[in-house]
Amino acid sequence: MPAFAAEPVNLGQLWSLAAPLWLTLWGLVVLLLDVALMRGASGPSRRNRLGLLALLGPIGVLALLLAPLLVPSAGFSDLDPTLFYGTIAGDLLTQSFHALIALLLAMVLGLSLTWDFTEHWGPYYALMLWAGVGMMVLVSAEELLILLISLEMMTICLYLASAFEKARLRSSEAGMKYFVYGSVCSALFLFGLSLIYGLTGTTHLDGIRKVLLDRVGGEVSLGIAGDVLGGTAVLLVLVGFGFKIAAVPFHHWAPDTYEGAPAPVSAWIASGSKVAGFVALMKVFLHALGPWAGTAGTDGAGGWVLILALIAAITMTFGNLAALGQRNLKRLLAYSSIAHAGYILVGVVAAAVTIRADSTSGETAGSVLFYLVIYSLTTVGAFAVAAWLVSDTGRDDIDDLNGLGVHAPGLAACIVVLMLSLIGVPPTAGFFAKLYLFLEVLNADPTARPLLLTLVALALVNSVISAFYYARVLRAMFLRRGDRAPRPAPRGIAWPIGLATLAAVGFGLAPTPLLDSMRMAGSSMLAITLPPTDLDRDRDRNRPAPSAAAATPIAAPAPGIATAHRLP
Amino acid sequence: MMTNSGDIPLSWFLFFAAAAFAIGLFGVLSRRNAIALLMAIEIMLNAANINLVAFWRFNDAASPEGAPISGVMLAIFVITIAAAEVAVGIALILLCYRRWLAADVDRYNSMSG
Amino acid sequence: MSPLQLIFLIVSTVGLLTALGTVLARNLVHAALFLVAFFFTIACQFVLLEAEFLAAMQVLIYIGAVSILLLFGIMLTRNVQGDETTGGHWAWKLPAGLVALGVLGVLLFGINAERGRPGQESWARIGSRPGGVNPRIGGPASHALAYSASGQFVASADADGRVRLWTIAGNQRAVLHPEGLAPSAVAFSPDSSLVVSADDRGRVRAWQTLSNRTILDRSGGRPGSITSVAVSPPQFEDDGANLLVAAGGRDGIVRVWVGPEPVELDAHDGAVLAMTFTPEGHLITAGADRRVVTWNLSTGESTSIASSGEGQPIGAVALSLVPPPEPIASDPQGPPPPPPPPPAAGGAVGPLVAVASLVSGSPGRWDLRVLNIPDRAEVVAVEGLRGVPIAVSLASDARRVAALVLPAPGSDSADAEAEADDAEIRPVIQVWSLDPESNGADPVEIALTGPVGPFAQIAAGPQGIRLALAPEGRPITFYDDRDGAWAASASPTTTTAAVIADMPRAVGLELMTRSVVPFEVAGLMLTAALVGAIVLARQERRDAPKLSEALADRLASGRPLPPSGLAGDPEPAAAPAGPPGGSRPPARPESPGAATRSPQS
Repeated sequence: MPAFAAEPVNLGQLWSLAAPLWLTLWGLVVLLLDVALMRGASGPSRRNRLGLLALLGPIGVLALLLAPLLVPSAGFSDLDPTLFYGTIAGDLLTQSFHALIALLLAMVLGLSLTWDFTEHWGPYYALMLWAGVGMMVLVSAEELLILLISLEMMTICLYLASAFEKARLRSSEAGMKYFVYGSVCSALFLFGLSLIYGLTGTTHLDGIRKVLLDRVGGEVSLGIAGDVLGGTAVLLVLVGFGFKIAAVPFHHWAPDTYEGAPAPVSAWIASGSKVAGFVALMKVFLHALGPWAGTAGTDGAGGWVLILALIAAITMTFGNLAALGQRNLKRLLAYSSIAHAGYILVGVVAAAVTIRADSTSGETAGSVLFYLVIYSLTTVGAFAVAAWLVSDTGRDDIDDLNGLGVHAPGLAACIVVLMLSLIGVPPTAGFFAKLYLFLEVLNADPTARPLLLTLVALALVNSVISAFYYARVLRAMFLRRGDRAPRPAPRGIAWPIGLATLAAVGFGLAPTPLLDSMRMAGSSMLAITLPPTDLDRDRDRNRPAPSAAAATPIAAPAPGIATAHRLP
Repeated sequence: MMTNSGDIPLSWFLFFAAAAFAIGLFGVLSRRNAIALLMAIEIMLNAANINLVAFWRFNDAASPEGAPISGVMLAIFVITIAAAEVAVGIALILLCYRRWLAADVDRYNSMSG
Repeated sequence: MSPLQLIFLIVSTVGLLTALGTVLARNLVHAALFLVAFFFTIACQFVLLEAEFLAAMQVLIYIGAVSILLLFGIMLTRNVQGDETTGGHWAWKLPAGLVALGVLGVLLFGINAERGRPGQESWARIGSRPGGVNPRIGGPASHALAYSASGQFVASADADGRVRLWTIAGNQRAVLHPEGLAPSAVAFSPDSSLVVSADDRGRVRAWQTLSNRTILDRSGGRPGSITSVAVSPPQFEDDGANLLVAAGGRDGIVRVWVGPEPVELDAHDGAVLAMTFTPEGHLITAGADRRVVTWNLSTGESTSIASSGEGQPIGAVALSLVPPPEPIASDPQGPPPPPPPPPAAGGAVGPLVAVASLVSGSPGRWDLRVLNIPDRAEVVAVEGLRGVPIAVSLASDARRVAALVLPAPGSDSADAEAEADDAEIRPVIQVWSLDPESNGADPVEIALTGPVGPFAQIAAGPQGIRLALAPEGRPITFYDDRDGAWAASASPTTTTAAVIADMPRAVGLELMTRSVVPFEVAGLMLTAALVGAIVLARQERRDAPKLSEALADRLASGRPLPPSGLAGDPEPAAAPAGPPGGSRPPARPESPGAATRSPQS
C-alpha cells in the first residue's frame, strides 16, 4: 500500500545472514592483512599464512551455524521463513546449505594451500571467500533482485579467480571463456527476468507463483501453451540457469574452464556454484514458475517440464559420451559434472511432476538436495586428486596417475571410493543418492510415468557408460606401472580427499539421517509463503463485506513453517 | 488531464526493447572481438532495463508485496552489474591480449583436451 | 499522433540505428561511439518513461564510466590482429542474423498477443502512472479523506505516509508526519480542532488543526487493517491526556484509548466502516453487519439499531459529525470561523447515519437511507437506484448526503462497449438534499473528470455542495458548487522538480529498507571486481615477457596453433548456429612483425 512505509530493517534478522556477513568481513580482513603485513613475505609462506587465516572464514561460519545447535532450547525450530520483507529465507534449507557451502569452501581452501599457482594470495583468497558469499545469498534468495545480484556476485568472483594462474596460458583462456559465456547467458537471463516481472508485476518468488496461478486460471496442466511471451521468458531464464549448472546447450565453457582454471577454483565452480545454482533453479522453477510446469504425459499441453526433461536427457548422454575420450583428469571431471547435472535435472523434473500431483510435496526436491550434497562433496574430493597431481608433477593427465596403487595405496583407495561413488556403486553414498532420486519417479502421477521411466532408463544406461571412463582412472592407478614414486600428498590435499571419502562411505552406510533432514529442507523450501500483504489488505478494505466471514485477521500465521514440517 | 491521450503505449517500449535485444544478440553471435562482444552484451542489458522501467511505469497493480519501485531498483542494480562486468571483462581482455596479441576470442585455444 | 509519440519514434529509430551501428561497425572506435549514442537514447527513453533519476544514472555510469572503460580497452588492444580480419565474415553473420530475427519475431509476436489478453489491459492502454512514487501530475494518492465539521479543512491520509491538510479550495495547508507506517484512516474531532490518524500497526496520532502540533501519540493497539478512526473533542486547550481516541478495523474490533493503553470493544461482526464521537463523549460505530451501535464509554452500555434490512448488504456507510454548540476559538490568522451550522429543519439534529445498501437479488440496484440515530427516524429513503455505490458521505451540517456511484457491472454491456466513451458509463457523484421540503427531489449529479477505482473515497462539507474526492491511485480533487468545477490539489509536490526529486528519495529509502541485502552484495561485487581486475590487468615483471617470448617463438616458427575441434568444444563465443566448417577464421597471416611489435619487448 503506502509507498514509503517500509519499516526500518530489523537488525535481529541479520542473524540469518550471519554466514555470508562473516565471510564478507573475513575476506576484507585477509585482503587487508595481505596488503599491510605480508608485502615482504615470499610466495609459499604468504600462501600458507594467508591460507590458514582464510580457513578461519568457513570455520567461523560453521561455528556460527552450529552454535545454536549446542543450546538445546534454541535451534532451527524458530526460523522465520521470510526475512527482510520477504526477500530472504531463513529456513532449514538455507541454514544447512550455508553449512554445506562453508564445508566445501574449507576443502577448496585446503587445496589452495598446496602449490604456488599465483602470487596474489590476498586477492585470491578474498575472491574465493566472496564467491562463497554469493552462493550463500543465492541459496537464501526469495526475490528476483537478490537472486540476480548474488548470481552475479558469485560468477564475477569465479571469472576472476579462474584466470588467477597468470603464468599459464590456459588459465587466462579459462577465465576469458567463462566470462564470455557467462555474461552472454546472464544478459539473456536478465531479459527473461524482466519479462517475468512484467507479466506478473512482482519480483517475489511467492508473489510470482500467486499471479501465475491466477493467470493459468487453475488449469495447471495447461502449462505455457499459447503463452508465447511467458514461454520465451521461461526459455531465457533457463539459459541463465543452464549456464550455471552446465547443462548441455549451455555447457561449452565448462570443459575448458575446468581444465584451465587452477584446480581449487575448478573444484569451487564444480561444487559450490553448481549447488547454489541448482537450489536457485529449484526455487524459481518448482515454486515461482510451478504453475507453468505443464504435464509430462503424452496428452498434455507443453510446459517447461518437457523442455527440462529434454535437456536432462541430452545433458547426461552428451556428458558421458564426451567424457569417454578425455585424457586430462580435470577435463574428464568436467564432462562427468555435466553428466551429473543431467541426473539432477531428472530429479527436478520428477519433483515438478510430484509437486503438481501433490502426493509427496517437497520430498522429491529433498532427494535432489541429498544428491547435491553427496555430489558436491565427492566432486571436491575428485578435484583434490587433480590438485595433487598438478602440485606434484605440474600436469594433470590421467596417465600421470600410473602406478599410484603401488606407490600410495592409501590415497589410491580413497580415489577408488570416490570414483565408485561417482559411478553410483553400492554401498557408497553415490549409489543411494541415485537410488533415492530415481525411486522418486515411482511416486509421480501416472500420466507422467512413461516419460520419467524413459528418463530413468536413460540415466541407468548412462551410469553404465560412466563406469568405463571412471574405470580408466582406476586402471591407470592399479594396472599400469608408474616409473616414479609420487611425493606423499600434502596435508592440505589429504584431508579434503579423506573427508570426501568419509562422506562417500559414511552417508553410504547411513544415508537416512541426512536424507530425512534434506527432505525436511526440501519441503520447507517449496512451502515458503509470504504473509498476507499490504496490498491484499488494501483490496479488502472498504470492500462491501456482506458476510462476516470475509473479515480475516491479517496477522494470520505464515503457512510456510506450518506446512514445512508436516511430514509423513 | 489525468489520462493524456497523447501518451505512449507500453507495447511501444516493449517493441523497442525487443528490437534492441535482438540487435545485441546478433552482435554477440556475429562478432569475434572480445570488446565488440562486451558492447553487444551492454546493448542487451540496456534492452532489459527498458523493459524493467517500462513495466514499472505502466504496472497499475503495483507489486503485491508493497514494493512500488522494484522495476527501478532492478534497473539500478543492472547498471551496477554492467559496470562490474565491463571492469572484469576489460581486465580479462588485457590479460589475454598480452598472451595472444589478439583480442579475438576464437584465437584463444591453447587447450585441446 | 501526439508530439510525445513522435519524439518516441524519433528516439527509438535513432536508438536502433546506433545499436545496429555498434554491432556492424568494423572499426571498434566507431562502434564505441555508436554505443555512446545508443546509451544516450536509452537515457532519453528513461525520461519518456518518467524515470529521470535513472536517466541521470544512465548518463553518469554508462557514458561516464563504462564507455570510457571500453574505449581504453580498445586503445590498449587495437590493431594487432583485431576484429578487422573477422568482422566481415558472412558465414557467421548470416546464421547469427537468422537467430536474432527469430528471437525478435517470437518476442514481437508474444508482446502483441499479450496485449489482447484479459487481465493485461495495461499492456494496451495508454498509461497514466498510478499514485505512489513519482506520479506525473499531482501529489501522492490518498487512502482516506475527512472534511472538518467547520467546513474549513480537508484532511487526507496519503500514500507517501503523510497526513495533509488542505483548504477547501485545494491548497495544501500543512503536511503532518506520522512516523512509521502510513496512516490508513484520518478524521477530525467534532469541533474541528484536532485531526487524528491511525495506522495498521495500532498507532494513533492527533494534531491540533491550527498549530499542527502533535497533541497525542498512542500505540499498542491490536494490529489490523484499520478502516476508521475518531477522536473526541478536547475538554481543555492543550490537553492530550483526557482525549478519547478510537480506531476500528476490518476485524470488527474497536480500539479505544481512554488512557495510554487501549481497550478493545468487540463491536461488530464485520468491518467497522465508520465511527464518530458525540459531544457527550459517546462513541457511535457503524459496521458492515448492518448495525449502528452507540457506546457509552463511561458506563459500558451500548444501544444498537439496525441500519438496513435483512438481506441488504451494506455497500457504504457514513456518520455525520456533530459539532458542539459553541464554535471553536478562532485563529487570528485564519479565515473567520463560519457561523454555526443551523440545524436542519425537521429536527434531525442528532448524529445521522447514511447507509447505501445493495439490493440482494438484483445486482446494480441500491437503496439509500439516512437515519437519525437517537430516535431512529428515517430522514431520507430512496430505493431502487442504479449503479454500485462505493462511498457515501454526510455533510456535517446535516443538509446533504453524497454518494459516489460506479456504473452497474453488466448493465447494458453491449451498449457500453458500443459507445465506450459515452459519459453514461462514467462514475458520478449524486448529492441529495436532506431538507424536508426537498424530500423526494432528484439528486444533483456531478460528473467526474477521470476514472475512479473501486476503493475511492469522498468527503462532503457543509454549506453548499463541497466535495473532496480521492480517486484511487491519483491525487485528490476538490469540488465547490460556487464555481461548479473540479479543482486539482495544488500541493507543492506537484511541481515537476518535486516529482523528479521524489525518485531519488524513494530509491534511497528502498536501498535502506527492502533492498538493503542487494545493496550490500552489490557493493561487495564491485569491490571484488576491482580487486580481481587490478590483479589480472597488472603486467607481471616476471611472467609476461617469458610468455610473449614463447608466443613469439611459436609465431616465428610457423607452428600451427593446436586444433580446437574437440567434441563439445567447438565454437568459442556462443555461435551455436555457426556451421562447423566455415566458421574458422581465415588463416592467420604469418607476421613475425607482430611478435617484434609486442608491447612487452
